[in-house]
Amino acid sequence: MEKFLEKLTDKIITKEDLISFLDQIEIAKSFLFQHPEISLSEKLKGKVSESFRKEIANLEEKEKYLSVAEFSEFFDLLKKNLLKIPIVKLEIAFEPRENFISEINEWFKKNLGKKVILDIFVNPKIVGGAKIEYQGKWKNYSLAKKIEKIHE
Amino acid sequence: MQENQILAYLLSSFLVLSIVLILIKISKKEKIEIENSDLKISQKLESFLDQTIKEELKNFLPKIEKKIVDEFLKQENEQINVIYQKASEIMDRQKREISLFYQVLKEKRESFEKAIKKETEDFIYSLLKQKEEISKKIDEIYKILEKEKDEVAKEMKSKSENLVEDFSRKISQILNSLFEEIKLKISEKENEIENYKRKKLEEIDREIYRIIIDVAKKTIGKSIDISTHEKLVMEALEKAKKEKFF
Repeated sequence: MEKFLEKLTDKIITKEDLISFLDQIEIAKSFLFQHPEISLSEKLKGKVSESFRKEIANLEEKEKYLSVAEFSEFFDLLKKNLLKIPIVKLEIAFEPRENFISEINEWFKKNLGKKVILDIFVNPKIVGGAKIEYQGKWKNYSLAKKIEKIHE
Repeated sequence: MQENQILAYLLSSFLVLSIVLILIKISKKEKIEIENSDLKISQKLESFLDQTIKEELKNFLPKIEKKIVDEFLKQENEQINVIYQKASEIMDRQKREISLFYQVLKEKRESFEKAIKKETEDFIYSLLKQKEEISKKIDEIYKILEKEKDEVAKEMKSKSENLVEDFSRKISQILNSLFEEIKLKISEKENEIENYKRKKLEEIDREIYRIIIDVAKKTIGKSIDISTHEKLVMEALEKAKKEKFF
C-alpha cells in the first residue's frame, strides 16, 4: 500500500497536477458508498482521468479484499501526504516543455533528497534565469536583475 | 346812563303811589266826617265816588309818568351836553400837550442828529489823521517781514537740504538692504534651479537607462532560445543550492 502511495505521489509534479489529483480523490470518495456491488474503478469511468482510474483499478486488483472503509482511509491518507509535500515556486521567462518540468522535478529529488511540488509562473520580464521561492523565502536569479546590476 | 333812567323811573312810580295813598286817606276822612255829621250818604253815592276817583287816577297817571320821563330826558340831555363839553375841553388840552411833546421830540431828534453827525465827522477826521501813522507802521511791518522772509527762506533751504540729505541716506540704506536681500534671494533661487536641474538631469539619465534596460531585456529575452533558457534556469537552481537556499 505504501509503495502504491509513493507511486501515485510521484506522478504529481506541478501544483496544477496536485489540484487536479485532490479533486479526483474527492470525486472517488463520493462514489465509494454508492452501489457497493460495483467496483470503484467501474463507478469512476468517465468521472475522473483515465490514468487515475487505472491506478484505482490496479489497487483493486492487488488488494482484493479492500473494504469501502479501508478505501476511504486510503484516500484520506493520500490526501494528507500530498498536502505535506513542500511547494517550490519558480518564476521563469519562457513556457516550459513537459520534459523540462520533469528534469527540474528530478533535479529536486536528486539534490534535495525529497519530493517537491513545482508551482511554475511564466514572466517574460525577467528575461532569463529564474526567481525561486521556497518555504517563505525567495531569491532572484534572473537575467533582468543582472542587466539592472550593470546599470547600477 | 341806563341805571340813572331806572332810578328816575322808580322815583316817579313812588311819587305816583304816594299821591294815590294821600287821595285815599282824604276820601276816608271825608267819609268819617260825613258819618259823624250824621249826614248819611247812600251806598250808591259812595261807590260812585270810588269809581270816579279811580278813573281820575287812571287818566292822571300816564300824564305824570310822561311828565317825569320828559323831565328826566331833559336832565339827561343837559348832563350829556356838559359831559361832551368837558370831553371836548380835555381833548383839546391833550391835543395841545401832544403837539407840544411832538415839538420837543422834534427838537431833540434834530439835536441828536447834529451830535451824531459831529461825532462821525470827528471820527473820520481822527481816522484820516491816523492814516499816515498806520501806513508808516504797515511799511515798518512790511520791511521787518521782508527781512525775516529772507532769513526764513535761508533756514528753510538749509533745513530742506539737510532733510534731502537724510532722506537720500535713508533711501540709499533701504535700497542697499533691498539689493542685498534680492541678491540673496537670487542666489537661493539659482541654487534651487541648479538643484532642480541636476535632479531633473538625473531623472532623465535614469529614465534613459530604464528605457535602455527595458529594450535590452526585451531584445535579449526574445533572442534567447529555449535550450539556453532551460540552461539558465538550471544554473539558477545550482546557484541557489550553492548558496544553501534550499
